[in-house]
Amino acid sequence: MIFLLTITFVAIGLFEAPALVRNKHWRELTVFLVFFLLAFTLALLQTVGVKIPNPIKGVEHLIKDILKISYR
Amino acid sequence: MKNRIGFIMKIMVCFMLILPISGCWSRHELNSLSFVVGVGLDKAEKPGEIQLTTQVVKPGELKSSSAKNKSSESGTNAYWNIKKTGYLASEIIKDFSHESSHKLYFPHNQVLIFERKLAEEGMQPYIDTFIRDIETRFNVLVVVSEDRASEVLDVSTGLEKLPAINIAKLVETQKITSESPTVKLIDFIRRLMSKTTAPIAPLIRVTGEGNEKTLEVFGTAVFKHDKLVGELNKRETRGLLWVINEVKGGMINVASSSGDGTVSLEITRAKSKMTPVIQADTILIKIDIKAEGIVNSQSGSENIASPDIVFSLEKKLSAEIGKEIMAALKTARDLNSDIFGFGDSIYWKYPSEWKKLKMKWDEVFPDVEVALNIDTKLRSTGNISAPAVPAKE
Amino acid sequence: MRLEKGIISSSQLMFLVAGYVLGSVLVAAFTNTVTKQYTWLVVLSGLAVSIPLALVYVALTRKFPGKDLVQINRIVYGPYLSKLVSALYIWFFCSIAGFMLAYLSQTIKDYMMPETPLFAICILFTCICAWTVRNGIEVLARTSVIFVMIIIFVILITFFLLLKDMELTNFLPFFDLSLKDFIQGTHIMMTLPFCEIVVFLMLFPYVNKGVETKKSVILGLLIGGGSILIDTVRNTAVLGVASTIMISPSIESVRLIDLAEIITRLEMLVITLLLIAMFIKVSVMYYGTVLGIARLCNLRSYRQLVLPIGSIIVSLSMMTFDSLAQSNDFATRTGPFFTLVFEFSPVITLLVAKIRKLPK
Repeated sequence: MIFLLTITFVAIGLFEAPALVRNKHWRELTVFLVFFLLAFTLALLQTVGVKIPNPIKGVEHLIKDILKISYR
Repeated sequence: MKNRIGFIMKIMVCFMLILPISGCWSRHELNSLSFVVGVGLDKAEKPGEIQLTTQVVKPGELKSSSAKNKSSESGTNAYWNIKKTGYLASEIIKDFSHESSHKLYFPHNQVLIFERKLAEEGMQPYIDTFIRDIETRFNVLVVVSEDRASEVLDVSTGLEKLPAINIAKLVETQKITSESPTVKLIDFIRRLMSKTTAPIAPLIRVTGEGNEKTLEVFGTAVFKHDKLVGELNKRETRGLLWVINEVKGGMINVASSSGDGTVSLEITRAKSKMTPVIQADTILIKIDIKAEGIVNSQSGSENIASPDIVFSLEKKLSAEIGKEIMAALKTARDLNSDIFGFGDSIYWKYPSEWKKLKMKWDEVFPDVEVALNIDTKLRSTGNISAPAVPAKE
Repeated sequence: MRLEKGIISSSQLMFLVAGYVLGSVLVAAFTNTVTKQYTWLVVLSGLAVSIPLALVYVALTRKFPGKDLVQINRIVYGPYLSKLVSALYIWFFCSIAGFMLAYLSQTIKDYMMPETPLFAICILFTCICAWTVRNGIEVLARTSVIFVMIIIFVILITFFLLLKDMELTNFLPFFDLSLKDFIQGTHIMMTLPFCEIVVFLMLFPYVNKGVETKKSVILGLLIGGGSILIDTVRNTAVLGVASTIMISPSIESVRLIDLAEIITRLEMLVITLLLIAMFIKVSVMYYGTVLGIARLCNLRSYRQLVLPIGSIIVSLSMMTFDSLAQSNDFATRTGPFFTLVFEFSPVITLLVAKIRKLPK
């Protein structure tokens, strides 16, 4: 599974990166790399099984418990 | 040149995309499924256990020459009834894999048969599987049987190869006489979910002996919440169906006005309306029924084609319908279960008063008064006007 | 500077909006548990409340022609606050895309392919969305025209096929709804299908005739809302009380279609409908996210970001909700407040812009 994941991400990287490097779009390349690494870490953590805290749960907690506005 | 290759590649990809459309991860090959056409639930010997019978089609046998292989002893049936016991329907269904080489496939299920003794104990624990499971459908017919469901599912008749389909068609055909209701699972659920309306289901039993067994649908099973409390016979059932607007046909006999034999009147059309009226201390339900009929036969020899006689026949018909409804009402009152839906009709019209009445409906229901208003029309007298007897001088 | 070279016509915008609203036609059904047989009433009231909000969105984009949401935020709120606001918006779009994807894959898994792991469905679906988004808005708009026509056609056909199973008594009694339930229902209806068109604030600059945006958006909302109304009416009429306990009443009511035993088993049509409509919705949200990030970081083109963001959306959908029950709970109770914040802020933006007399 992890193997498949790595292959997919390497493929994505190879697909997008050369065009960026060729055209010297450094800004785009940096943003791309940031999100690429973010996506890769997220996917890796999920495949391995680490439970990532869910931001929506945080929001729900905020709305329900702290602000106490919710229906019923 | 490059264009052409690109074009051909695109066409090829399109074709290849069609291949996985049928899905490959969750694929169920046709010959690994066994189609369930009927399900029956009986009480088993151990307390709390039920026996589940599922009728599975044997497709190979369906093509065999005729359905009249009742006479041949070892005539291969086109179906196979598997029986298993357990506590809950869901675990029994999974248990079937111990005996059946194919996975049971429920979407083609036609009937759900409950044994009467099981229904008397309460259907809720067992019926939930059939509602919640994704494969089962809601237009399955619900039937209560006097005898054991596994026996009912074993009776093969002359017309159909599969007993379950026979039962399903039998229940549907009741519309001709309107002496038994046709209850789909969704109707049953609707009545189960209502706080006051009582669920109903047709009753079926096995008649005859040995090779001459046939099925007979007679009357209605009346529930209170989910327990069976009583039954209505055929006449009372028709009274019930008059009120809930489900009569589609039927034959009523009235005495001919000159006392000379009986006239059979066939109902062609019927419509009913229920209006609740909350009075000072009682509740009145006004039932308006409009029915149309034709004369089917008469056993006397008078000429019934005159308007006066037709008029008097209409009045007699209305009276008969009224009697059927009152008979149904009496039985419902005795059983204290609101099969007509009076409670719901009050809820629809007077929601605020209903909130107070809801709690005491069990006491209020037997005292509900009913005002009938029946209007019948006999549209035709059939093929002939006067009977085929020598004309009276 | 345009991030996207495509231009869509105003009628394509109308279909895009309609398709987007229809994306929630099955999701909106969970308000049945709250509003019981009055869901149709709540659809109407939700629509009535959403139209003024939609007009606010259109007014905002008319005030700043050719600029999308992130740029508007920058002009109105200044360079630093706007980065925060835009980042929050982008996160909102991303989460809703993940939420919708999760709902879709959960429904497909329940009804069609029980053994397929969720992520396989998610990944396949996201691949198609990614391909569409990568190719630009014109592709999306053109496909949505055809898809919306198919969706409306199927909704109407199933409605007529079920006419004989409908019972008007299922709608009685009228007006027995408590005010609290009514407000909650309207709130859910407003935020879930209708006002998520706030994402279109990212897409408005690419419509060719800016003046006709208002007409297209309102018409699109009405078409989408009307279809949801027909769908809801059909479900309540056919299933009655039972529709309050069902997870997916549209599929169950279509299962009951049985015309002469030949026209049966049409629930596949409804699931296909869900697929198509959700595709439009997820693609538009996805597109909004990608455009937003590209605009926020001052990039020249958004195309490179498509694939990583797609993967993030898939991960989000997998980890957001463990079960349909949890997502229902969120969507009926706390979700409306969460989405209301984002959908209402353009009103605040417009007010601030008016006060500061922008654009100068």
